[in-house]
Amino acid sequence: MKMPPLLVAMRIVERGQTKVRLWLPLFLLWPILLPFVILTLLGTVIVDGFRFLAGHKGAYTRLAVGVLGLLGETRGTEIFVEDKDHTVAFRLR
Amino acid sequence: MTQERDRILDLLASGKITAEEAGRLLDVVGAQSGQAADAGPAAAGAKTATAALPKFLYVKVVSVKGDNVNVKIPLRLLRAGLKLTSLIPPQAMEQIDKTMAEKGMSFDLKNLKPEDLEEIIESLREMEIDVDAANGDNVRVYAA
Repeated sequence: MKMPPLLVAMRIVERGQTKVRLWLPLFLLWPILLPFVILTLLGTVIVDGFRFLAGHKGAYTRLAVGVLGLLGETRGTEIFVEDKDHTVAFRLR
Repeated sequence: MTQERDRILDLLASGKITAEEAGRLLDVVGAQSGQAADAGPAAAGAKTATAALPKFLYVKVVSVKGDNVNVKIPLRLLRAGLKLTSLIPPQAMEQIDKTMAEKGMSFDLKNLKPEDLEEIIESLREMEIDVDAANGDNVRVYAA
């Protein structure tokens, strides 16, 4: 599984001049969210356990891990929107 | 080739060139790529042998009014997203299929197999959508 994005870089340019240049350090956010992720994964494991006992195939844990993997794959996404006077650039690194 | 495209997009991101200029540069890079492919069977063969799967999906909108949009999405994200559909629990999948059918999209996600995903991603290398509107707006979707 790839690392989730570590930085969000955002830049707003107005009439050729940079008005906003924002670097959001997501790598500080992930440790804060880690306990919630672990709790969610524990919850899915328990639910899958009960489902297994009920004769169903467990899938929620795999789904949760897949969602985390999807988050990791967002690295490298870039979006640029431009009109006559403004440019907004957004990057996930 | 991808490095040149990335360099152009970096210049666009840093505001050194406009989206229109970036579009022209990308066209030139694409044309050079085409010429290299036409250089000869040996060169083309070597190119095919070394060509990797496309890494990014680009969506480029150039408007005559100056409202331009450039989106670069990692294809791995697309692949992971499509694979995720196979992990959706059957009950949830039935509900999704039912809702999609109600909205007029009779698309069964269960039929999407992992081997089909690889084929879709592989096919994206050959795909390019280029739409020129009557008012001069241009929409281009391609993978590189």
